[in-house]
Amino acid sequence: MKKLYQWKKVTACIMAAAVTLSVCACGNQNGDKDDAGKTTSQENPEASKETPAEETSSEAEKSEESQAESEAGGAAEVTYPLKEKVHLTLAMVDEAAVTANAKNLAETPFGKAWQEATGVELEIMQLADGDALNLLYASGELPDMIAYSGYTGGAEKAIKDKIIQPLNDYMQYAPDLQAVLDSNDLYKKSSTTKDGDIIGFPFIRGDDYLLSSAGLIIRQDWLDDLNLELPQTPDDLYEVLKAFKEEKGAKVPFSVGNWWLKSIALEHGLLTSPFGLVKGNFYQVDGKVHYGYAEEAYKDVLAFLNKLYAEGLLDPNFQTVDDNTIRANIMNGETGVTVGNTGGYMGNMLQTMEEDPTFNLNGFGPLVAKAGDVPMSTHYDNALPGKYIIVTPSCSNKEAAVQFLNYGYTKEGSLLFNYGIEGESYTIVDGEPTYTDLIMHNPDGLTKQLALAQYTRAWQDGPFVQEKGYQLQYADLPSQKSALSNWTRSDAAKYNMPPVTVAEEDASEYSKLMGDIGTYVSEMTIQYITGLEPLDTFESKYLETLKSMNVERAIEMRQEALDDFNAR
Amino acid sequence: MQNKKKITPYRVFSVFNVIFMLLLILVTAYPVYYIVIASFSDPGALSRHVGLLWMPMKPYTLSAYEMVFRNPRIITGLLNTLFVLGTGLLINLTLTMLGAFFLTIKGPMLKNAIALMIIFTMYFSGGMIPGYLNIRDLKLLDTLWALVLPGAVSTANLIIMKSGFQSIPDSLIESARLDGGSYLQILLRVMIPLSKATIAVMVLYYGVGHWNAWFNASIYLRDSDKFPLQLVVRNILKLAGSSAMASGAGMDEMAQMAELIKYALIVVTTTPILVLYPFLQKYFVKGVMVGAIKG
Repeated sequence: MKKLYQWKKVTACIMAAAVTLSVCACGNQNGDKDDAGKTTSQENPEASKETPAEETSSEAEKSEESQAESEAGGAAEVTYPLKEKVHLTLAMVDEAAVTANAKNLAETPFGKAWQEATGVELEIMQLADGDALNLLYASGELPDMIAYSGYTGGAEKAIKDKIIQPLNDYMQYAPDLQAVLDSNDLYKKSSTTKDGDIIGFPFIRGDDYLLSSAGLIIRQDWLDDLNLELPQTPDDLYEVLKAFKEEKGAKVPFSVGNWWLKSIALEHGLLTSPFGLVKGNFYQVDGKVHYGYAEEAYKDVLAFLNKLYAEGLLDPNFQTVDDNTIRANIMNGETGVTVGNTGGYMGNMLQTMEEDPTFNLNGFGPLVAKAGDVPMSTHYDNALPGKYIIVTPSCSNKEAAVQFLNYGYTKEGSLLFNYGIEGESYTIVDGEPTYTDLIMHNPDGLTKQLALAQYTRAWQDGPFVQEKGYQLQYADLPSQKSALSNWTRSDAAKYNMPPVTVAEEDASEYSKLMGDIGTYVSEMTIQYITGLEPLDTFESKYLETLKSMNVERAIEMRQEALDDFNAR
Repeated sequence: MQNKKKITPYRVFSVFNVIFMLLLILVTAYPVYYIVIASFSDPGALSRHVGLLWMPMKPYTLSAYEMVFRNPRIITGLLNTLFVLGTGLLINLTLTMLGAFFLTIKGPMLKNAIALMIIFTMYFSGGMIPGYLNIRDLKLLDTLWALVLPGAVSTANLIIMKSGFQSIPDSLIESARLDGGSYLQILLRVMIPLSKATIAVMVLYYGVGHWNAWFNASIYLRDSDKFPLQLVVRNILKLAGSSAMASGAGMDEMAQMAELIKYALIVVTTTPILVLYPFLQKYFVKGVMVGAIKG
């Protein structure tokens, strides 16, 4: 009897524990949901960039623009530090990498150097996230400057709503920005609205090497063992995967997550060039807009993937498999090829397998029809990702603010923003600024990123032109460098859509159309790859349905936007 | 001696019931267990591991905790949260009890109309932007008071508290009145001592609310020294996530540590509240059921 009683007591305790845990779990639900939402938005930077609200639109009014130019043409050089002592407030979203080791940006060594060089006293208004920034916009009480990354209705609307002060009348105070914009047509067009207003001080990725960060990744050590070259054509890839499966015992030689497959491999055309398709998403050929998923050539891409799937070379779980599993599979020898980036994928795995001298990775470029061809597309980001420091109409001293922000584009400023403080965070070695051990092997144990966040802006964004030297030193493993140079070799610049978006009045129609079309394309892509839907129906069903969903109207709207942009 | 036990339907049910419940416990408890052991594991080994995990991966490490605690924001965040928790609870409890007492006693003019107005707020709120403008005009922006004063009384909790007070017989209040007790005395000497269970539930609800809150802080605060713990945690997780995923190419131990830091943060931030639950548990069932219909 007593035993039974004790047993009951134990059960009761366990039950109580379970209730406790489940109650706690409920308490955390909100947090979880939020996390989930965040992850999707993070994983989908391209998608958010496609929304018309965040970008600028076209149609130039030449007269205004040229007027601004002529005004700026006669500008004298700005001398730093500025003569008058100014106090300016900059609102920016909290960056945990910065605030991990300093109160805010103004109190980092970088911020102090910037203030010292310009003679401006900088105060940071720290906003916890994008919501807080939107509320700040709504409240109408704006600081002097804002780190801007988009506004509902686009930059035109932000100017109308008195959030952005167009810089046209102030360009004589920003001669160095003017010089940068004049040096490259794309820079100038991207940072101007269709009314000819200059939005602000853009973050510019100054080299093609900085535009690609993801692509096809392969187990280089397996290739070496089997005496194989990096695959270039679809047939090469097929042979390599087959060899990996048969001779290396890889259960799923090619594993890729659904997001990476669709948003990187297809949307950026890593697998499409050999079949005569630039990429899945919108692209342009000589000023004419195409939507890759609605092109007939897409059928051959699907047929190739379907073949890999049917023969067990492509991971049958590609719709559900997550990054961690793929990485584990590659490290455990179950997988030999994937789609990933230099940091989270390559860097992560290479470091984990540091002790295993045989393990090695490499990146190979987008597939092509004939060995030696240049692929038409690759993972390619816009040089101006839409991040600006803007001056507000209520700014207390606009001339000083403009001069302050112009500093990042000067020669000294560029060194500060990219490399930090000479003698501390970098030294000149053989004429090249080189990060010191303070950054590369921080004595306090800070990671490279955290150290860079204290001394530079190259790791994130800001009003300056990012230099290649940053990436070369940051992603400094030989495999990473080799991957980046393979990934960046392409004609993407020719076919890439510049940062345009459809006109404000078309925006809601466009996003509704593309929402439905995008969903349909994703569903059918999976069905064709897995063979649930036979490829024979590609023309009769898939293309017809896309037509009935009015894909042509969407293309037309993108075309108008592109025409406007080109006419700027 | 009764060695042989008959197989009765009840016994069969019990056996299956216990098995089912144990499985349920396993499913609920395993993720928590996983997080705890994963936070002590070697990040490299962990990222190579596939499937269930029963023991921490060797070599054991505390490096994730080191990284978490090296971040000075964690400490300031904890202090801010404790301040909000302490001040907030005091204000919450005082106002909720006063409000519930008002709605319980007989007599006050327009009591029903006021009760209706209070319940109205449960279903309709002003929205985020008016809320923000209000806080701004009250000059509470960028102060910790912006986390304490809005929502000082939660309507749902007020109703639970009121049900708690209502379960005390009217005659007690009446006799106290006859003995010359003022309303304040009745509240302090009669109602509160008799509603300890409900008050414990209030402490729990409000306390957990303050502990987990980050949203108000994210929109009202401007200074990272004032951020409460959960907001700091959220920003760190965002950082860890972005360096693992986003365009930032590079070989960074942060990317590899990201998972580990996530687990360590969960352990650090949930342990205090997890420890609190068992002590309040005995009041919990009693207190929260007060308002329910009893059979």
